[in-house]
Amino acid sequence: MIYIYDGTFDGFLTCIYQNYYDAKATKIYRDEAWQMNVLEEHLHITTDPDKATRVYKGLHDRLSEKALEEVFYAFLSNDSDKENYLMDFIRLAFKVGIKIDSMYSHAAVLPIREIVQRVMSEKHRFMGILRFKDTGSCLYAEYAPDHNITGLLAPFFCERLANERFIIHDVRRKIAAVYYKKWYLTDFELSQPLSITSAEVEIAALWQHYFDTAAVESRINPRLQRSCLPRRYWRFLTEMQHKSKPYSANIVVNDKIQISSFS
Amino acid sequence: MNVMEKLKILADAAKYDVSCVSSGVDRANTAGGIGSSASSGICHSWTADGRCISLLKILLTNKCIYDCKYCVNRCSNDNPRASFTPRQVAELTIQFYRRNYIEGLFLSSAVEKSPNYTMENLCRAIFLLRHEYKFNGYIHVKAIPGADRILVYRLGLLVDRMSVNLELPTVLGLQQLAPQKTYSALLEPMSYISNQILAFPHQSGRTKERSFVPGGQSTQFIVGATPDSDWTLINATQKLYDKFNLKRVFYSAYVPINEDKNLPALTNQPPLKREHRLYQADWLLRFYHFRAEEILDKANPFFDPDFDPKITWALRHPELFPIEINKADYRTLLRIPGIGLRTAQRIIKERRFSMLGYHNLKKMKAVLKRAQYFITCQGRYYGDVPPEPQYIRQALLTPNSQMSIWGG
Ligand code: SF4
Repeated sequence: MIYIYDGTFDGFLTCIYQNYYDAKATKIYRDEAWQMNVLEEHLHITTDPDKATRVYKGLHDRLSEKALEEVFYAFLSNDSDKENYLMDFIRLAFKVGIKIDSMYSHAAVLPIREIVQRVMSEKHRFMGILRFKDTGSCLYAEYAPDHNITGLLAPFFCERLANERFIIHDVRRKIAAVYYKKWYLTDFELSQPLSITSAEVEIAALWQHYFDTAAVESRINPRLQRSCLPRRYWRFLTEMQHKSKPYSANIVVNDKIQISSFS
Repeated sequence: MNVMEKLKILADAAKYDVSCVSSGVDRANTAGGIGSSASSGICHSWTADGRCISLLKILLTNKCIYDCKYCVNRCSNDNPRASFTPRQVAELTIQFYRRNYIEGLFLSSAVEKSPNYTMENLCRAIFLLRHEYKFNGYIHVKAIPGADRILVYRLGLLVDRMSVNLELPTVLGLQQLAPQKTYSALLEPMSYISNQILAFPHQSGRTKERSFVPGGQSTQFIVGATPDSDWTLINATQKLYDKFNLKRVFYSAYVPINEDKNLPALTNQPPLKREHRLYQADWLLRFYHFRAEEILDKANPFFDPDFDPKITWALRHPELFPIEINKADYRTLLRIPGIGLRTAQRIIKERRFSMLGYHNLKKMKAVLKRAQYFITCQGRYYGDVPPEPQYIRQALLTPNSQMSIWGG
């Protein structure tokens, strides 16, 4: 039986629940990722927070914190088959409990570890390459990560920039982490061109200049640079704006505009 | 002169210093402050030469009273000169940090007027950052040899890492290229810093408390400005780790900037390969429990350009191989080419549950291309040539043409 669900974490956990009490799931797909195949039986699963909670509790009781985190991280990945890897992982986890932590090469564990690794390394990468602009009323960062890592990044910046107000905007998923003393995730799109301060223009120019100076000419190696910092990230980087098409189509320099949601 | 013009001069002059990673300190932000330190190094960008930018690396000033031959800032060079004010350094750091351009500050300096004058200004800049701007991010400062101990002490309480660059590994080199410096003057602050670090209670884990130079002390050698051998460098490195408890030794391939009869010609390319091998060897010292004399010796004073130092060592010790991965202890596993720290740890963990085979190693990210010649799994050898140095050497150099050796 193929399970189709709405793409939410609760929805996915509902699938796991159903799979134990109903027809066993052979595959699980998000509704947008599923390609209708008339030969296979399928079932649309309605997200049920109660069932989800029960599965989550079960996982919480049986697994180590590390394995639980792995389930969550893997779910945030953009891997098109993540649900199915996760299903195998969770089935095994319910069977063996915390032993799963040291089963590195098991067929149900290895793919999850690899997916988690990809999500973690993207998170770690953006801890470094996310760029904020000063809008005069808050710091604003936009980016388009491969994986859904905004919620993972936010706590890191909340600590670091505790006294600031900031927005981390995932333009691909149209969501943002918004922070002012506390943070939350929300659907988000810019409704008007981004306005920044003139000081921002100046500081960005200083940084850009610093960046260009920092390379030692006799060691220049563009291939190495691209392998460390793949091109697809460049359009959001302040220091690369003159080398690639910048993402923000229109930015207005204005020292007065305030973003109203921050009153 | 405005900040942009100063930045042009003082960032350009600082870029040849490579000791610029921000690892080793894990510190939470404090109330009302800005910044934290992550113990896993964070790269913020990569320059056109492929190096990670993590810290804002600038000189406080490039006005220098000394005349070290290899240095851009030597007083006999006719360069534009500039000095930041302590406030400018602090402001620049904070503004870059807020935008997540950088992980922290690496502040170095030439010697303007006198060691004490320069050191006082360094202290002022860092004091402003820590106390007025409440900056909790990473700070690495260069200590100026010859400055009063009290200044070194005060600065040490504010920064994460301090370093004194030795630059040259021998007294003779120093005499020729930095005639105003003496070894003892360079080693004095080094030993003072290392004693202070030991005198403070050791801290571990994530903390808001400050101690003395919690990120440890480091130094840098220039590679290729003098005829010193790799053996000399790696031996000096070992001594520094043993004697002063240094956290890191950095190597910087010498980029010819100045003309001098004691220096390589300006047309010389920086010896990047050597620099790379030195880092590999340094890694073996720090994490793999190797000693300098195992890696190189008087009879073999230079690295093999074809093989990394670990393989070179293994090929010189055929009597120790192949190693059975189900039996060897952790330190022995670390000696196998193609097996890194992570893989060795995994092997130890997983073999508690079941005997490991060759296929398990593949999944544990061992580099089998190399490891195959140095291991057995449950008694079986999997290499595609016999486990003898001459064959292995061949096979590693020409990875695709080995089948014939087995007579197949
Ligand atoms: S003291 Fe430092 S800055 Fe001055 S010339 Fe010597 S190496 Fe260069």
